[in-house]
Amino acid sequence: MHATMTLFNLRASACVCGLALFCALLTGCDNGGGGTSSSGDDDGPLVVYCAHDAVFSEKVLRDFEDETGIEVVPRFDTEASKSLGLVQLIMRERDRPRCDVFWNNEQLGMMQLQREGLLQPYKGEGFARMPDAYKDPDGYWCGFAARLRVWIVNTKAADKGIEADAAALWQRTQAGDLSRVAIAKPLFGTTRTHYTVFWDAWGAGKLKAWHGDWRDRGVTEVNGNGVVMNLVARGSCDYGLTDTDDFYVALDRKDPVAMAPFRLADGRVICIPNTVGIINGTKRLEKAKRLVEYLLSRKNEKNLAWSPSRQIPLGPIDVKELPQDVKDLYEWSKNPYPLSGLGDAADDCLDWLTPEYAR
Amino acid sequence: MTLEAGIWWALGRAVVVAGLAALIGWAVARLWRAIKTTWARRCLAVALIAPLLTPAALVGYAYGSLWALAVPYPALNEALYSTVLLMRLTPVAVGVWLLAPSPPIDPAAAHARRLSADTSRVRGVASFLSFLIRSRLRTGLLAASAVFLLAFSDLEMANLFHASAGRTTIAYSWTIWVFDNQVLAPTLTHALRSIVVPMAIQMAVLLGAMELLTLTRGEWAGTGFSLREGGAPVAPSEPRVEGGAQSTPRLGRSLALPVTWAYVVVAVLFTSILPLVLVSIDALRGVATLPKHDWYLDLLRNSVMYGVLAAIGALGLAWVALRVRRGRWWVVLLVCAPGLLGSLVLALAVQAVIIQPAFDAVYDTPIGLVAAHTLWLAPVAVLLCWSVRVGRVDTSLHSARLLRKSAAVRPRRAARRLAWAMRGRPIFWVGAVLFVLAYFEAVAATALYPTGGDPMIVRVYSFMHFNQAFYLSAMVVLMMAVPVVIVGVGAWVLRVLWRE
Repeated sequence: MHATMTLFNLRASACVCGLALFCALLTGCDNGGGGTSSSGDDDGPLVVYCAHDAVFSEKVLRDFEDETGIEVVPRFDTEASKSLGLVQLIMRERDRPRCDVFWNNEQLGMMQLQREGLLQPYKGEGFARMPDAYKDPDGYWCGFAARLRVWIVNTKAADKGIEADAAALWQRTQAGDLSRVAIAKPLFGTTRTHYTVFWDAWGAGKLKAWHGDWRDRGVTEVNGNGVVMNLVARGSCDYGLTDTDDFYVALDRKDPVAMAPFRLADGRVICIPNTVGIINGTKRLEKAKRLVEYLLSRKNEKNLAWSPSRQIPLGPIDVKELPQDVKDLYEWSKNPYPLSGLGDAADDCLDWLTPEYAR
Repeated sequence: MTLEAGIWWALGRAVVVAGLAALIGWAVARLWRAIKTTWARRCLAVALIAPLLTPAALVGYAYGSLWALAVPYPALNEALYSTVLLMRLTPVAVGVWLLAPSPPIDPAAAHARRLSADTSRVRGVASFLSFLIRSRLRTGLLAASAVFLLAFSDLEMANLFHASAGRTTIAYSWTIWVFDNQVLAPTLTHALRSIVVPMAIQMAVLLGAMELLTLTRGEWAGTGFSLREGGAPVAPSEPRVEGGAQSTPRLGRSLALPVTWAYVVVAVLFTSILPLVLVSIDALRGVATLPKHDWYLDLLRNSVMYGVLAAIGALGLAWVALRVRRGRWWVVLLVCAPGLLGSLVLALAVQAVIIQPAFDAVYDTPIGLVAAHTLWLAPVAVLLCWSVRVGRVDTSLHSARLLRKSAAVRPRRAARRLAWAMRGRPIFWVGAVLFVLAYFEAVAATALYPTGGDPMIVRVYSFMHFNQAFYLSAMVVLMMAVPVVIVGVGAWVLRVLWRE
């Protein structure tokens, strides 16, 4: 009997090992390096870390693959830790970078990577077509296709006198209960940029007082702009602060929502571009440059404008070619708060926020 | 919100959920023993296992709108989260009640002690408590400990239910704090340093449970296995004959039976069937959009492969743990402990290790994720491997194996069928459960998946923050269907192969 058992166990073990080996082979990832091409590039696929929503960016990267024949292996960030998760990952991988191109969905993280010396400058045709306000003068990163910070309002709240009017909404938040007002946690993503703008425009003291006051009056804080949109669309909150792309998810779902751009006291809006940069030490520089050119191209900006996320083109474009929604956004975006000089403010603001939320 | 607050919230919630789950688990275990018909037992088994296997992300996604309505009412939202947690984890308590070693003091002795005990003096109380933890209360504490460890370390559900209403937090947990902190922290070791207190709590509960286990002297209830003093379980030579007060509860005369059935039905409806129905309705409208997103096939392939590898790894670990010789129960503890700390802690620990230069060859490969999933599944694998030995009779299995060497075809086939029923089928289903658990695990998968090797659950979980959309519902239903098809086809193929 013992011999039979041993034989059985040996067979079972062999089957298990064989199956495991088979699965390991099948699971092999596509991110490995390869040989070297005539251009001097590594033959392996281009690794792209992408903080822009996968639901929108996946198609752009696949179109790039189809057009150029360059294989792209994307890594997306989760909604909860949007953008900052990938920035931290690139920083942790500084000694052995895996990423070739970083497509960020905001600007502050890219500026942080630049300060850390993790980006490589590149000025191509795409760089030249973008306005100075949305790119690094030395070419370490460049912005394209932007979003606006907006108020999202549930239209059924109109009977309470709540309308999609930026000035009136801001006025409403100055006093009283805020439990039916939603905002995302400011640690990550575009809400962090929003807070950084306040830090710069108001000064630290006023921002801290405002933040404390909002929390004292019960503002609803959630895990992302998508959740803010959802709370307002479902009527759990009357209005909140989110991004245009999230607003359009609700609008396309035919939820009862309207929006107004968030404006600072001087009327300026918060316009947050996507940004792209090449990671220092990439072995696929030529491929990386081609992707950067593709993302900064007029064609891509136009495609993103027509995508469900309605991104606002930053480079020169014939407005007639844009959908009506984006024409309105395009007009509003002409008076933006400058983000390029906010590197120190972003660090200081995050240093203050981190113990507020993660003591 | 501070880490301390997160620990206190999670601790309070986990204690309440664990206590309630242990009580309900006791009632359901009695129901299980009271049921005599095979079909009713099968129904109950499916109803119990379904909430455990239903991914937390699906439940959160399906109830997203309900959650949105509850956000302005923190108490309601906390209650909703705790209820879902309780219903999902109660089956674990049932499993412990059914499979844990029977207490050293049997029910008759406990009853005699109750009749004679004098608890009026301090010494009497101490004696009574000492007596209690050696009686059935011990199994209850074990059940509560298992549920506590899972509830305390939950992140998936907490992340979906969490919000803040001003200074009031909803569904807050230390796991959310750690998740945020590991994003913000400059290094992983910095983030790991902050989880010393939660880990200490988990280890204390784990060691307490193991200490309770060492009090065992009797037979492993329901398993047909006895446990030598401080040693490994040993199979009996004869099938265990159920009897005694525990196996013949008189539930028919009371309301307990229908009430327990009602709870089980409500739980499976609320945590499995209703979420699936809600998502499926949306999915019907989203199916047409799926062909536009063909990348999901790669994600499904990745998920399946990670799940299969982790299931095989966990089965291997359980096999090793259960082969330990007398006096080496600590090997079981060693195998189970990492998994009982929760997938978040485990994932961060694995990440902190493989990012070191020495592990350069391993970094950004599937090995990290598969290793984390294997360790996370190990306790479940050990428990299930014990349980599938129910009714196993070594002499019968041995006879069947001898028959397989027969020259005649019919006895050989009959022997194969017997071997499949007694050995192959139980192991296959344990593997299937482990595969499904790994397939739907989102936390470690998010932290450790290699670039270009995204599992489906990671992408779907990220999309879920936008709440319901038709195409997303279709993806969720597809994601749910794949393991069902794989397990179904696998069962059929293996059955045919084994028989032929």
